[in-house]
Amino acid sequence: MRERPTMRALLDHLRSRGLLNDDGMAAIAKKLAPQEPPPPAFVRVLVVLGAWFSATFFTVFILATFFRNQQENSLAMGVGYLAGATLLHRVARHFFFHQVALALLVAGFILALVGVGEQTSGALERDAVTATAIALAAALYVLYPDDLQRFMMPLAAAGVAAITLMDHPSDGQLWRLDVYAGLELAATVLIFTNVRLRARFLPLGYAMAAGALLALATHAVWREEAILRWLFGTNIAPFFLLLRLLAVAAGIWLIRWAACDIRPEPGLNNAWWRSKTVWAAVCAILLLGVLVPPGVLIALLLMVLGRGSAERRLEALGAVAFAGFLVDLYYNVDVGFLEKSLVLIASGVTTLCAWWVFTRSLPGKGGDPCAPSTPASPLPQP
Amino acid sequence: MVDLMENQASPEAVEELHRHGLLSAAARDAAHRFVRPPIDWSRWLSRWLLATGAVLTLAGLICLVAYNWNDLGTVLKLGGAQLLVLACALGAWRAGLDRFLGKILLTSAGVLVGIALALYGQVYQTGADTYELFLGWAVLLFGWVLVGRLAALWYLWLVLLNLAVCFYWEAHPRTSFFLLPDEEALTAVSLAVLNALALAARERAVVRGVAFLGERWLRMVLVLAVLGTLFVPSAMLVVEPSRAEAWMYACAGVHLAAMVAGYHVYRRVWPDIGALGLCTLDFSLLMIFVLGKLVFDGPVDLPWELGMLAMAITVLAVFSGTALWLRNVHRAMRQGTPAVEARHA
Repeated sequence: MRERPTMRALLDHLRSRGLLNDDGMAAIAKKLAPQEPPPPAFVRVLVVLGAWFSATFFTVFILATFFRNQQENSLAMGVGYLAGATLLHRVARHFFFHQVALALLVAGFILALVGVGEQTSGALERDAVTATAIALAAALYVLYPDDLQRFMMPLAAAGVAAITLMDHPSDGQLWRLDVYAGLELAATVLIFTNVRLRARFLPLGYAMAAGALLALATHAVWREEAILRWLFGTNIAPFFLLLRLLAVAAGIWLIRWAACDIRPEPGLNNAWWRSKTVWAAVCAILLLGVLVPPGVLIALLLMVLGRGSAERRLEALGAVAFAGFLVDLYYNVDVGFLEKSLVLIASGVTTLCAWWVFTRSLPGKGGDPCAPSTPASPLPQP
Repeated sequence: MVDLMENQASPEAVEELHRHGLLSAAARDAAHRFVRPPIDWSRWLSRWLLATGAVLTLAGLICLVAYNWNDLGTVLKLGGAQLLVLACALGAWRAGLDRFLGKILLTSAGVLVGIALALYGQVYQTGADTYELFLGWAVLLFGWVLVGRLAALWYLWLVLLNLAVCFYWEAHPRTSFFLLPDEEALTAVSLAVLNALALAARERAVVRGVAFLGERWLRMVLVLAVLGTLFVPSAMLVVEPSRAEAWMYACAGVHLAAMVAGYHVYRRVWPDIGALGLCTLDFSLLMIFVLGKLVFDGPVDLPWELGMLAMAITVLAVFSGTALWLRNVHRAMRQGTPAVEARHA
């Protein structure tokens, strides 16, 4: 990816187009005045280690000393920790105290959930804990403005919800987890494809992406391949296919987004639906939606989403998940070792053929994927 | 001071400015179009298809060879491996060692040498010890390390030497040597000495202008290797002093000397906040072990709950004190001699 321009280059560009006057430029320059450099990464690591370890020891001391025989006070203690951490985060100036607050926040979150669990029982316990986790994550998102917290707490809440949904895997109702992962994927796509939502909810978007992948990864341990069962005539619940439909829909939405909303490659026309590249991508998404497990497709979509939104971490997350789900797919294919090796070779050769056809079909490149493309039409302007 | 105007513009920064009323809606939209980099989807998809196809095909071939391994003849097994080494080496020479492809091929050839040696040992059942495999591999690789001028290859060579040392002492247990009675101590000290020599050689080479060894991560890994191998005996001495032997005291002494030397070198001679941070982290962890020992097994018999409180305060004090000191040192380094920092960055 080409590097982004600097703030200075951006402001000069806006001024040259008459969208920013001298007063506006001065106001922005004042806001972006030179600041003290942040401490080096190593110092921050030491601070984080110190804060988290000391908070852990302190929490054990409090638990052991004051609540040795009064476990029902876990909820009160958890709420106290959460309130204290929020207050500390808001008033503290030093990085160290922010990390102490974060450590106390995590401890408070866990204690609150333990407390709710202790005061409920049976089926109500699971639902109460899940609802508490989601409510706390939502409240903290507003009250505790910290990117790491805004990633961790929603992810933790998503994990608690997934555990509740997974509570009875033996009854074959894994579709609930599939639908759940699909909803997380939809939230991720929505957040990352909308600039305004991304600016406000970026950590939440990452939490949803990670949550979807974790839900699928956990699910993959014991799930049966629904498409194989469908192919061989076994009755399956229609919800098993819902995740695939959601993933394919998200994929087609992403193709449209990549072709139109973000700056497209010069070879694409204004009418994106006429592009052979776009239709090839749609066909590929449909094929992948049918043939491969949802985890592979969703990981691929996250890679595209990360690439398109210039979020390298999301792209890297998708790439790692893609490799993991691909290994899982071939490891669990129910054939012998020889057949498995032939399946791998066939898959690889097919992919290489697709690569060859794709590079030969690109306009003006002469088959060299590294050569710059020749614009067939002016870039579309929104 | 950091000039935020020279930071990369991001969509989030644009939205932040708009929210504060510093950019109009039209300016915000124009800024978003300007900030988003162009995406060459064709190139990205092409590379992804090529990489995935190559990995799948290679994995399939490896599985196929593994499945038919017992049926393959000796000539095919050994000849195939050696042919691959030759092909990669010739390919590296042909591509040129200054190109990325040449470097990848030379590194692959270096890895394949080890596979070929392992195959040789398996086919002919030479009875060689494991350390002899790694030592022989390192010896054969040395020429390419000198010629290739690749940091990754040099790193691989060092890993092989470290493994050879570990497996050597494992194959020769309980060799008595002055203060060092067992193979664990000998392993720790040998590794520390080996990596310290490598670190010294690396620093000397960089001073003399050997650019490919100038990567900072090499220094960090070697410093970590030296301190890490000496940390374990020191920690054991602190945790169980009643079972301490003479060699533990010797190792602890060497460990302290290494920390002091590291501080002096990376604070005064070749300022490097990362390497200095590793030295201070090592010292901090050792201090926590010492203070923890005093809290839980010290002269004052504290209840374990109060011990937890004491540990919370101890960890807080040690890490925050270390972080504060490092930050001040970093600030002083930034105001230090640019020439020295530039030469040894």
